[in-house]
Amino acid sequence: MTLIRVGICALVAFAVVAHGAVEPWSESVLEIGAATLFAWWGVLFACGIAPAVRRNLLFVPLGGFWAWATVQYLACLTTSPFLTRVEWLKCSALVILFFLAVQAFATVEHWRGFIWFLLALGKAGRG
Amino acid sequence: MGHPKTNLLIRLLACVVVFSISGVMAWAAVRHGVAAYWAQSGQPERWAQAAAWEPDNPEHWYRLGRFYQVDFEHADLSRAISNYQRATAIAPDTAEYWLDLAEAKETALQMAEAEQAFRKAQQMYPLSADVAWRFGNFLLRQSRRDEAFREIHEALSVRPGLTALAISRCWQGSQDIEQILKLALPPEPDTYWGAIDFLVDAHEPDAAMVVWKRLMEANPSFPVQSTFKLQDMLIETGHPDAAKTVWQQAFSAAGVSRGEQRDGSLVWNGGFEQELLNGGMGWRFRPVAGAELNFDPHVAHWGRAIRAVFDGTSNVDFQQPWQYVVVEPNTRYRLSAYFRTEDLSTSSGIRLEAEETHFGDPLQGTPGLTGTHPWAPGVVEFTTGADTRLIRVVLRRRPSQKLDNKISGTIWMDDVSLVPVAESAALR
Repeated sequence: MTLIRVGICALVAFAVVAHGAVEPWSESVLEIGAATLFAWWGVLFACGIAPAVRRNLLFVPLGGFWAWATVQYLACLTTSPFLTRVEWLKCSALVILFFLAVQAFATVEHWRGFIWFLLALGKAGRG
Repeated sequence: MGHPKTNLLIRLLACVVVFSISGVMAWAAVRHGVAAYWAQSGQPERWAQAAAWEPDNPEHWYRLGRFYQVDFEHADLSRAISNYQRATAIAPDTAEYWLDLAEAKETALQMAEAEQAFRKAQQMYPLSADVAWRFGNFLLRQSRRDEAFREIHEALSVRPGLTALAISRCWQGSQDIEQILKLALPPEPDTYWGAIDFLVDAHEPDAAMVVWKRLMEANPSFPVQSTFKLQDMLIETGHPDAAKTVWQQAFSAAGVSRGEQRDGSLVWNGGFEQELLNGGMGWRFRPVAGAELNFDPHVAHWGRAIRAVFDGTSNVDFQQPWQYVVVEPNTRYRLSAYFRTEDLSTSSGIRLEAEETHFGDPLQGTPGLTGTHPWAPGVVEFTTGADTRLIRVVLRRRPSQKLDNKISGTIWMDDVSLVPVAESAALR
């Protein structure tokens, strides 16, 4: 799980450094990073290192929104399938990062470390 | 973690789901990223690769279509059309793709298909000024003027900035200004002004006056100065009566009094009580080296006089202020003004002249003034020619041919008047 925490921090830092990850190449890096971390979590879960899925109430609206976007794309309920796919990718990456954060930051120490990381990133960003 | 381990089968199943989602995501992200990278390159071959790599992105096909349509070296109309068609097939709701497809079809002389594509664009974006404008221009090129004018009307209603271009295109298609006004131009003062500006530049006095009449029917408000270009064009093209009409109506539109001229004089602002407008049928002036023209509120025959000060540095060809005056042909007129001079050192005297045109000989002039004189009237009578409809009244000093020709001193002028002689006699 340490690798996932480090990976989430790295992606957060990357998004900031890439000016918000709004260009296609940086969006792709963020999405590939999220997909890789998700796959790694899948390995950990399958091996039993992550023994169970930790739950969070926000999974319900986020999962519902993601599922609706998926149905829209797959069933062609959209005027622009291409743009729907691009937005679905972004939505998937963000939902996955939230899911992984809930799984990986399990204790107060984990969250404290994450807060310190954000503070350091903010300080570094200010120069 | 403190949680019991989930059942192995469920874990393996979840792993498969997670790997599937991750795999789909990663592949889609790589494809989009690489295609975007290629699309940003300056090489058309890369654009084609991007289109092949991400075929459901209509923007790639549209870009290729534009490239094959407008690039001089690689122009290929059939490829342009096929790329546009691909883009419209993927994104049929995008009017821009239909518009470019329509214009490519028109270039390929497939007029029926081109019109279909224009209509499709209009269906997708009925309020677009761009669609209406380009469709209108297409119809104009097909000589379907009434339909074209209606489309152009739609475009102008949304984007008035197109007025100058619209009137230019419509005028090329049909020189029927009434039809253009009726069908193409929205009844807005700004639109009429755009049309007038174009017609002034095109030296079309009759059409300009039709638009002017339509403009005045709307009771607009504007400064007198905005009509000067129109009046100049009307004067240049030999329409002094129309210029006078514009001049008079411009005052009422500006909401200012034109000021009654004393003794029925045809000269506007002959007493110089109002500012010099420097245009239209009012007094005009142009700065010239060696002389300065200004008002003198302290020395005047009545109210306020105009003063010309010569600094003695040049042999100036002085002709200001001057004013156009509309006159009747074969009519006798009396031109008069009051003058005062001080130390006017020149062998070529200053006088008030009535001239037929800018460069013509003077019809007549008051006696030339030099030296120092108190206020006194200068009067001259003259008869206009059979074709004379417009004269120029000007305070003028012609360059001297003598050695000591640099003029210095001051002249004041006030109460300039031009009246038909019979009328003048009746007033007395």
